Amino acid sequence: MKPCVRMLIAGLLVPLSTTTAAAELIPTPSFSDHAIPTAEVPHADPSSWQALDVGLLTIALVLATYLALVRRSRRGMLVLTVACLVWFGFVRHGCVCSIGSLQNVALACAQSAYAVPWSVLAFFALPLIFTLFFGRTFCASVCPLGAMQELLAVRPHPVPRWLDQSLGLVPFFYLGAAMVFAATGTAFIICRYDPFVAFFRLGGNANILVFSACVAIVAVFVGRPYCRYLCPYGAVLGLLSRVARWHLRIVPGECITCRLCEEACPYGAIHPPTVPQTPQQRARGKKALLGTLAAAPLIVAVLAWLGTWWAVPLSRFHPTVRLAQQVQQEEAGETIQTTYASDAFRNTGQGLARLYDEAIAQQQRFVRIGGWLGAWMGLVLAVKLIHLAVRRRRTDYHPEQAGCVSCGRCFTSCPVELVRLGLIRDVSEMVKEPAA
Amino acid sequence: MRWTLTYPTLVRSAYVAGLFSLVVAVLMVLDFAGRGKLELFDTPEYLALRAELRERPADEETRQTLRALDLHLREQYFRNRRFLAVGMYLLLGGVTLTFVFARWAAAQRPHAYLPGPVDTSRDRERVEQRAAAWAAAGVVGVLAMTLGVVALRIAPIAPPTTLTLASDTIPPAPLPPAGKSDGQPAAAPASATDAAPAAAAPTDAALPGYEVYRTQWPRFRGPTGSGVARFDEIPTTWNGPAGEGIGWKAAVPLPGNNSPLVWERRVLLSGATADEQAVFCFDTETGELVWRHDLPPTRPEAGELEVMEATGYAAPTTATDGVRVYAIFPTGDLVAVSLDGQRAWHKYLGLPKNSYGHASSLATHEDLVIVQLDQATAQAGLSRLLAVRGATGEIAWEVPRPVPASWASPLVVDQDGRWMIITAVNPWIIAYAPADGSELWRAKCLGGEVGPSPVYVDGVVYAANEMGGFAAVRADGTGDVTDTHILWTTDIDVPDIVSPLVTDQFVVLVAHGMLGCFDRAAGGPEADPTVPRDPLWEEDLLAEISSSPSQVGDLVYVFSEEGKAWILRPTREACERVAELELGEAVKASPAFQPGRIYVRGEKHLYCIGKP
Amino acid sequence: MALIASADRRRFLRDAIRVTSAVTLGTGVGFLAGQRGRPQDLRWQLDPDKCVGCGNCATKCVLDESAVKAVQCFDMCGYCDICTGYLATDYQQVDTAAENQLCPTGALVRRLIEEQAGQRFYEYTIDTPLCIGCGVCVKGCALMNGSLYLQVMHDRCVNCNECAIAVSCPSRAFDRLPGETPYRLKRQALALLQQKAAGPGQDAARAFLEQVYQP
Repeated sequence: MKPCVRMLIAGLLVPLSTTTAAAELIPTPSFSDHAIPTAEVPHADPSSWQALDVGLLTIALVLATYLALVRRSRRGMLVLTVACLVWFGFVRHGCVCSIGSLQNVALACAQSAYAVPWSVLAFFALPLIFTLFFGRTFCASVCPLGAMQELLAVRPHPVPRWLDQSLGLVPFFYLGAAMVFAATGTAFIICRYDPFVAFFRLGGNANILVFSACVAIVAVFVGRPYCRYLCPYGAVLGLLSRVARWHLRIVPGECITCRLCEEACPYGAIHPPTVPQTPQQRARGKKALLGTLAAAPLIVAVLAWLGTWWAVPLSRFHPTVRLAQQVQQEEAGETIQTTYASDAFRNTGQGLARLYDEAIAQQQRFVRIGGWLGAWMGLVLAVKLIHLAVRRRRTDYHPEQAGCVSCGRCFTSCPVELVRLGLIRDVSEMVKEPAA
Repeated sequence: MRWTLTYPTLVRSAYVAGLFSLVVAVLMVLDFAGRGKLELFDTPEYLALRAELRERPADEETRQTLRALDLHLREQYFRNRRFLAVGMYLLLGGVTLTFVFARWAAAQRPHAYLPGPVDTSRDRERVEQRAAAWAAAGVVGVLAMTLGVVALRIAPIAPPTTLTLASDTIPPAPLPPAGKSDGQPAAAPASATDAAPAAAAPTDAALPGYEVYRTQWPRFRGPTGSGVARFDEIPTTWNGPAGEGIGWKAAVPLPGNNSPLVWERRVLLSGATADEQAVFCFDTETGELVWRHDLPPTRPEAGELEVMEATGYAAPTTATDGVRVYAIFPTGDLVAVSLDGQRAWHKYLGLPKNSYGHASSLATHEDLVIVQLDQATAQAGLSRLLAVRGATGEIAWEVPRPVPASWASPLVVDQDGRWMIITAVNPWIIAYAPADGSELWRAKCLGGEVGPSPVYVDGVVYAANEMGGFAAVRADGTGDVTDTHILWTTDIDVPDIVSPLVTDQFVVLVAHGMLGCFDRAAGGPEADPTVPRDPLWEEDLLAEISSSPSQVGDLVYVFSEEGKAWILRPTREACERVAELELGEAVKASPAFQPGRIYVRGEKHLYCIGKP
Repeated sequence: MALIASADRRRFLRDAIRVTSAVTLGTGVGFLAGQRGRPQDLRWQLDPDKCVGCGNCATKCVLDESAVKAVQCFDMCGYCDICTGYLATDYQQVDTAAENQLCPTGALVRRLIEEQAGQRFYEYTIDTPLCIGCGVCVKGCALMNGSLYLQVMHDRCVNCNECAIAVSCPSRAFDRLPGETPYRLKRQALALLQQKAAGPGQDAARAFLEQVYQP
């Protein structure tokens, strides 16, 4: 028998390699007619795949824009939607996506040691640039998550406007939190809570699968719930889309205010024209606006102050803090069960004091970060309130540019469009009595 | 060509596809839930079979069953994986079809929207915007409140000054330097706030002297480890089930075969299961659990720490020096807890390679804790004897021993001014100097898996094990004393677990309920010590006995696993049964004594026999 | 009149914002892209020197069959008869019987190579399709030479932006490596492999080393 018995039983969960020092290796024998083989490991995808992805993204964006704005072809867009879903979703497993790339960029901005790969940068920037000029055509049919929800929306019901507007703030908060966590190197929460990536990979963690299934079921009855009420990238695109130069229009020509498209948008982006105000109403509106403006700094300040109190829960996303918490509970005898992480930590022989110091430093850091996050939330709320206090005048039907994802669902409800397509001869076939 | 499918057909198709997807999804969820965490070798059935095979390695039937189950589990595992992969595609296909049909059906019946009349009198915009403003504030409010509430509920990581501290890795700054502890009392910590728990880390100056130590019951079988109680008014009658003569009875939260200690008003013992380890302190007067100190087991990989059921997870008896109580567990965790329940330090000694589970109790000497950590086989070279500083947990010295695993407890004795640590193991009794762990002498007289602990009385070490026999060895030698210092031996009534009891005249051995009584005196100068000595008498108690016997005056106390107890008076001629008593609970641990009281650990309870 | 003026003003404002945004975006992206000299294509990999063999790799990967699998570094292997990576701790016989094997899926294949002076030498090879990355053999082998170690296999890894195993790794052994050299070796093994690759006729070793990140 071999001297198997040089066994060095070391503590469990000690880094496995340190149990044997170089001198102690049992020598590899030399054989008379057997060469010692070398292990083989599979090659990684060549980086040309990423170039292909970026190329396809560009083509898809151009095509989406062309189909939405020039051809106005809902059918063509649907085909593109399916194609993008299959490629970016199921073939490329939904990674890297533009939504997640936000975090890579935030991390790269905050930590110069991290260089963001150019393909990720392209995924981040291209949709933004397209949106700046053409609206959210990316959301319409290129983004795999958007595509998924677009196809799932069988029976979308309208969401009351007050709810739509208020829930519409959540993506901005999510954006703030995601940026903060990414920039501090704490976590990539957008990726962690991606609603459809488990479908794309045909498997995943049970919790995420349940979450995915829930979002998918909601998406059948509420149009694009993730895009509207969670997606942080969508929030950015919505902002940029407001200033888009060439945005999708419902009518190919002049709006005849026939009101047929009033309920055509499942995403709540079509609003009816406003009624004129009386001078008293206008005066009152002005007062309300002034009041909101005056309150804005207060809102920001209060939330910033509240934010400093969130340091403890926020810092729990940080692995060091989580470890310190676990170790502390173990030391205090509050928990019997140790975790692999705490065991591994103990076996490194590092001092507890240093761990606590690090964790406390992180916690302190999150006081400041929480403050900024609170301020950001306050700012978003204040801007929203000001926005809601400003009275806009609408005389005809146009999609609201921030909310419109350029899906083209409204086209077929417009008689002018039907005339253009040659499906009816005249507008009057659909509009029995022209609106006053 | 244009397909013309009617709306009802499409809706029905969508329902069929939806139903199919649902069935697949439910099947997959069931499969996933059924799989749970029990994969491959985690199934209880498999683990049980494996344990069974270890107990009875020769059982061919178990072996075959195990192999069949192993194959079955593997097949099932890969089938599950395949099922999940195929199922995912089926589900995807089903869902896709459902939505294709559903969308198609929806397109067949376009939602004909007919706008109603415009109500220009109502300013909808205004109402909606106001509602939206309130709702937005509400959303922010709810979020902020939620985070706030969570923040209040989670305790922040506190600076370590408020912690009970302390790991072996933190240098306990204010403790005396290692070199100073040889009898020289060190200065108290300069500032109590720096020393995280001043109470939990007292200096050696606080250690009570041996004069106090010997009046307590500070280790397995009392201060000398011999099971002799020199106290008055020890009860001679009780009835557990009836509650007669029982001072109090307290439930011990965790099981363990270790014996209780008594130090002033505290009864100390430990308990453990696979997931929990703790040291307990009971009040001698009331039986109230004064404190419980939990020590999370340093997790061995599932299944790696396997103890025999009979050994349990807390076989080693704790030891106290009057300042801290020390406990060791089969996981390799060694912990020091101050007598008021604060952890002084914790040290992980590595998982002992021990097929039954580590059972050797601790001993203390001055500021040292003695750990007899024998493991695996002699060839493995893993066995060692350690002396750990009680105040800091640092290792004072450590000597490797070329011996296999043992279950006997070390003994610290004063042989006419020469202190020695005596250990019993296959095949040696080895004595070491407590100062540096250097070996003093050894005698080859034991064999097998040594369980009974040695006893020292009047310059002679008495040690026994079922396989190697019993030997009485003079402790005044140096080097290998096998041929010169063995006084007498026997191979009759030799125990496998129970430690010997040595009275003024006799040696009492207890093997599986059979008592054998031997003349203690050495034979004449011409007597051959290798000729086994016959017992003076034998007495069969017809009981299963794991608890070591104790001596009070001229009486011998024996507790059995059936919950019975005997008080015996041995004479040269016979065994006089003074009393046969009932405790009503299985006893495997050895009793502890205090003036007027006996403390006995039953299977689930701790009993105080005597006046409350 | 006022309406037109207002519309014009609004359009001007939008144009201004758009141009500013585009310029800002362009500058920012240009700046980030300009950070040259650092690897661009990054792949997740674990450091076997930090690995503690906790088993998370088998369960935490987003793929049902984990992307992490065991690798045998033959040049570090002692070809032991009593292999602590192959045999269960409570083995009864040194054979391939189920009750004596450590690997839950039987992915470690044992083959007699030669008998020298009464000592039998066995080669242990990973049957990769069967391996589930649980690391049981890795922990076992660590008691001896530690030639078995875990690696992220890049034919399976989907290179998530945030690797789920990395998040749960107790010893934080995961990081990203350049796409051209996405594998790691233990420090000791690297030295041995470099030595081996220097020899003649060791194309396989050289090819392997080309895939290994060498700090």
